[in-house]
Parts: sequence; structure tokens; C-alpha cells
Amino acid sequence: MEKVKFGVIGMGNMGSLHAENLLKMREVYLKVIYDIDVKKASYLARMLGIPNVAASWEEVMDDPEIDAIVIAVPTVLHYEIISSAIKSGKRWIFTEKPLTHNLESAKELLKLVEKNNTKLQVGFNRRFDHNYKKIHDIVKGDKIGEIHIIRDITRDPEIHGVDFLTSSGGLFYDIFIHEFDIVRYITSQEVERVYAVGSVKWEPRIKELGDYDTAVVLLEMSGGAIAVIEGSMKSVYGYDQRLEVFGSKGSILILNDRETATALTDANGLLLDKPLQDVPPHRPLMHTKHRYEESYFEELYEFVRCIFENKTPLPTAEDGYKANLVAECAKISSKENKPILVGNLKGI
Amino acid sequence: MKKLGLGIIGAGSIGRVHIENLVERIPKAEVIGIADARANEIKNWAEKLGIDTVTQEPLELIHNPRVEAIVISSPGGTHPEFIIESAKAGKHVFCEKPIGYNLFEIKKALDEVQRAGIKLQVGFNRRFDRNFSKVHEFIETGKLGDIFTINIVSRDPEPPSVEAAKISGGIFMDTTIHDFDMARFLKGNNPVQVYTVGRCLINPKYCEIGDYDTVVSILTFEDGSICTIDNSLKSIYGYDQRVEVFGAKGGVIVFNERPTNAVIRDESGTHIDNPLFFFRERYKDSYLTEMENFISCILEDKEPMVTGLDGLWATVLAIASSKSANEKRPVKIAEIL
Repeated sequence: MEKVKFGVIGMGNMGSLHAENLLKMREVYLKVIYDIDVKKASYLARMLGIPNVAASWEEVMDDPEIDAIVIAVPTVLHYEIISSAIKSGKRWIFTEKPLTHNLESAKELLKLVEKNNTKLQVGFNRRFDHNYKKIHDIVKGDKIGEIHIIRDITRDPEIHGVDFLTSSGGLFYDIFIHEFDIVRYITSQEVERVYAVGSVKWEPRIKELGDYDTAVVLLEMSGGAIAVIEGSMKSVYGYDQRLEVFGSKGSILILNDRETATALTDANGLLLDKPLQDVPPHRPLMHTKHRYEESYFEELYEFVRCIFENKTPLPTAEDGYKANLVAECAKISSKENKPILVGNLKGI
Repeated sequence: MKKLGLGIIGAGSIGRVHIENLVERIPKAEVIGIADARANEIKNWAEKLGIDTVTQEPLELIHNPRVEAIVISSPGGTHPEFIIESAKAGKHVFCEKPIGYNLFEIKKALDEVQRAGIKLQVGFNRRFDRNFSKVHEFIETGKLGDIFTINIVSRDPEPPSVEAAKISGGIFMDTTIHDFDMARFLKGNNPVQVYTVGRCLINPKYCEIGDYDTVVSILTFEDGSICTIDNSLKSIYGYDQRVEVFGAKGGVIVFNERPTNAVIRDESGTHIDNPLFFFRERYKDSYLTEMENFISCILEDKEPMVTGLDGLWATVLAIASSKSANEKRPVKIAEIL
């Protein structure tokens, strides 16, 4: 097989990151990129050495040469763009998480994917992170025994702008969605019941959007495990990403990866370095290390590998839908202050 | 030096911790006597500590004129009754947790305490632990800014027998009660709602007696801050006691304390000791500090740091939590009070 020809739609932080990763893969020819900001797309194409800039996203889909598409547009546009890609016959689609910004559209997409035998991978990159992967393997190898409790902490370093907050799907769909997927992945159990408490602590404008910046979500899993996820849109000490699985044979804990492994001791005590940062604002040729760097490469490389081997890439559209299902339950639960059975929402 | 005469009701495992501290480590205290249902069995042990009076009759001890303060470490259900009797006799009281199981009884006891003007301290020893004291101090001095979330991990190394669980009041009254108090202590005010999920993952027999062995609770406060608590009755690596507070200016974490801080490295990895085994080991210092505090509150006429109201609140939360787990819904504190 020749190189796989890729198009990237959406060249914000994540799209640029994916484009740069594709450029590193010898198996890939990144033929074209598109962004609503054409000037920015042209600049990035010049800087990164990408041959074509499309004038519209339809142009990327209608190009018969393109084998695979990466979609990294604002979440609220996912449904429209992914469904067009499927309808225009694209078989290999990698989309940023979440699959879509609500449950109905996720369900529709899932149907489309199944009908067209589309190979759609959702960007739950944590599954490809060295720490989470290790926890998954340890649990799978029965070293923790039966899982009783999962504790997950996710705190972003900084609140995104209001523009982003309105187009991202909100706290549960944008941030907690990773945790919903990783809990499913690590436990190999499905979420049965969801209870969520949300609060506005950092940014009063979030209240006007009907969203939260601080929340706790409790998941009751099909195998008996109880997962408690605590998250915040901001943390003054940086990106805080930890997870613990506690079971009958022991416990495993992920601590934060840090910028350096140094420990400075002085008159004030011991000082560890800051946790590695989240994906930094994209500036080509100015590389800064970040927390999930390898996982973003790995997830996309897995997608490419699946194209060569004609295998179904994971996580699938169904995984994306299931995470949305939990996010929707969390949203309803937090508004109505009651636990929501996931089964009751599946009909939607 | 003026010594304070004390009588101890109940010389079970925690009662003995208090007695030994009072006799061996608190010079200002003098243990006058012990009341215990199994008086004969503990006589020798008491004698070795220099305690001559061992009786089966708690009232005898309460009315002993040399006894100025009573330490109640009998089973939880008897606490309110002994508080009332002590108060009526004008004796100060240190009461083990929980202060009681029944809110009506507890309120009656607190009324009696107020009427008698005696001092009452409840045995939430963790407030006196140097780690949690430091976290409290960080919060009080504003180092963390506004508090947004509190996460409490509290896992026991070995479960009580099902028989013991029957008389201990269950996981909420016996184990989580400390964590409920910790949440109130750190946050500085009272939750408005509790949501709890309970499971029997260690032994289904706990569920047969209406209890759980694994529980996760979410407490919500008036200002929107949230506290999570997870409990397990069996942690294979030992007593897991951690607290984390997250706020506007940063966070603070308390890790486990371990027997030694030796780090062993070999081909399989880097190893450190498991946590100190159980409450006697982990909270050794705090049991002494809380009792010293109680004694000095009496001798110096100060208000104890853990009051009867704190005891009442912890029981309220235990009741709410149990109700939430049983009915699978969030329970407002106003429903219980």
C-alpha cells in the first residue's frame, strides 16, 4: 500500500497538533488542511510544509484522493461535519472527542457509522497514555483483584474563553468525557447509574451558560465498582491528572507527570516541579513538552496502523456514544439532583 | 500539682487506649476507677496500672466523689444515658464517638449537659492529628483561598466480624462518622445534603444485616463546595487515611504515615512501607493529645475543641448517609434534623 492520504479539518490547537503528528509518520501523506480562518490555515501550511489549503471542508471530503480525515473542529460542529464525511463516502475518520455535543446527535452518528461500515476513531487519547495504559494492564492482569473504588481527579490549569465554553458542550461533555471513557476502559465495566453535583466557583459567567466549573460525578458500574470523579476547570498549580483504582488485592495510583523529576530542598521544605502542562497554544516550531504528548501521537498512529491492516480502530463511535450517554446523565442528574439510570436514557 | 480524678466507663479496645494514656502519659490525670461489664476479666490488667476500683456498675463510678470527670467508651448506644447521668452528678464528660445513634436521646443528653454546665468533649481524635491540624490551619489562615473540594480516603485494614458490625452501629456510625466530622472540621460549616452509594463487595453478609462494606459519599455545602468520602472495610495494604483539599489558591494533600521511611530498591521496583496498620498505630498521638486537651479544658476552664454539637452533627450525617444509600437518592440534612 502507498502512503495514506490525510486531510485535517480544523486547525486549532488540536488540529495543528494532529497535523504535526501526521507529518512525523512515514506512512502518511498529509495532503490538505482546512480551517475557517483561511489565513491561519495558509500560514500553518507554509510553516509545516503541507501542500494544500482547502477553501471549504466540503472540498476536503469531495477530494477522491483523500483516504482518511481528521476532524478537530469545535464540538458543536462535529455532527454536521462527520455525517457529511460519511455521506461523501469517507471510510476512515478520526474525530476529536467528544463524538458530538449531545446524545441525540451521537445516536444518529452511531447509526450512520454502522450503516456505512465507517471506521471511526474517537480521540480518547488517555487510552494511549503510558500511565493509564499501565493501570489498564495491571487491572486486566488481575493484580488489583475485584475493583471496588475508583478515584479520578481532573483539574485543568486554566478556564478556556467563553467562546470555547459555548461550543465545547460544557464541563461534562468536554472535560469529564475523558474520565467517563477511561473508567469504562480501565474497569471493562459499563456505567449503570450516574449522580452528579455541579458548582460554579471560578467564573460567574459559567453560571449564565447553565454550566459548572467544578463538579463531582459518581458512577455505579455494572461489575459493582463505584467511581468518583472530581473535576475543576481551573487549578492554580497546574494540570492535575490523577487516578486510583482500589480493589480486593490492592490499589494502583497515577500521580502527576512533572516537568522535571527534580526535588528542590531549601529552608521552605521540599519542592517538586509543576505537573506537565496541558496542550499549549499552538506555535509551530516552538516545541514545549506537555502531559499527553505521546498519547496524541500514539492514538493517531494506531489509527494509521488500522488503515493499513484494515482493522477497526479503538475507541470506536460506540465508545464515543457511551461516553456521551454518561455525560448526558451527569447533566440531567446535576440539574434535577437525582441519580439517573443510564438504561433509561438509551432510548433517546 | 492538682490532679483531675477520672472514671472510665467501658474498657474495650479504645477504652484501654484512653486508660493507658491517662495513667502513663498524662501526669495531671488520676484514674480513680473503671466500670465495665466484664469487670472480673480486666481486674488484673487494671491492677497492674495501679487502678484498684473496677466495678460492673457505671453509676457507682459516676457518683464516686473522687471522680470529677467521666470517660465514656462503652458501646455507642449507651452513650447518651451515661452523659445524662454524669451531667446530673456534675461530672465533666469525654465521650467516644459516636455520641449516640438516636437523635432524640442525643438532644436530651445535650440539654442535660447545658443545664449542668459541665464540659463535654466528643472523641473525634483525628482533629488532633498533627497532619489534619496543619491542613485546618492552612485553611483557617487563608493559604488555600476559598475551599472548593475536599476528598477523604478512609479505608480500614480489616473488617469487623459481622457480629461486631451489628453492635457497632454499622459502617456509617462506626467508620464514616470520623470522615463526616473531618469534612465539617475542615470546611468550617455544615453540609446541606448527602448522597451515598453503598455496596457489599467484601462480604455479602454485611448487606444481610442492613449494612455495607464499601461506601462512597458526596456531601454538598451551602456555598456549592463538595466533599467526597470513600470507605472500605478491607484494604489489603493497611489503613489508608488520606485527605486532600482543593481551593482557589491551591491544594493540600495528607499522605499516609508509615512505620519507617526506608525506600527499598530492587529489580522489581522501588518499595516503601505499607501504612501504619490501624487506628491504634496511626492515631496514637492524637488519642493522647485529645485527652490532654480535655483535661486542660477542665483544669483551665476552657471550651473543648470538639463539642456535643459536633457529635450530634456527625450522627445526623451518618443517619442521612445511611438513608441515602438505602433509598438510592440524595438526602437533605433538613429531612433528618
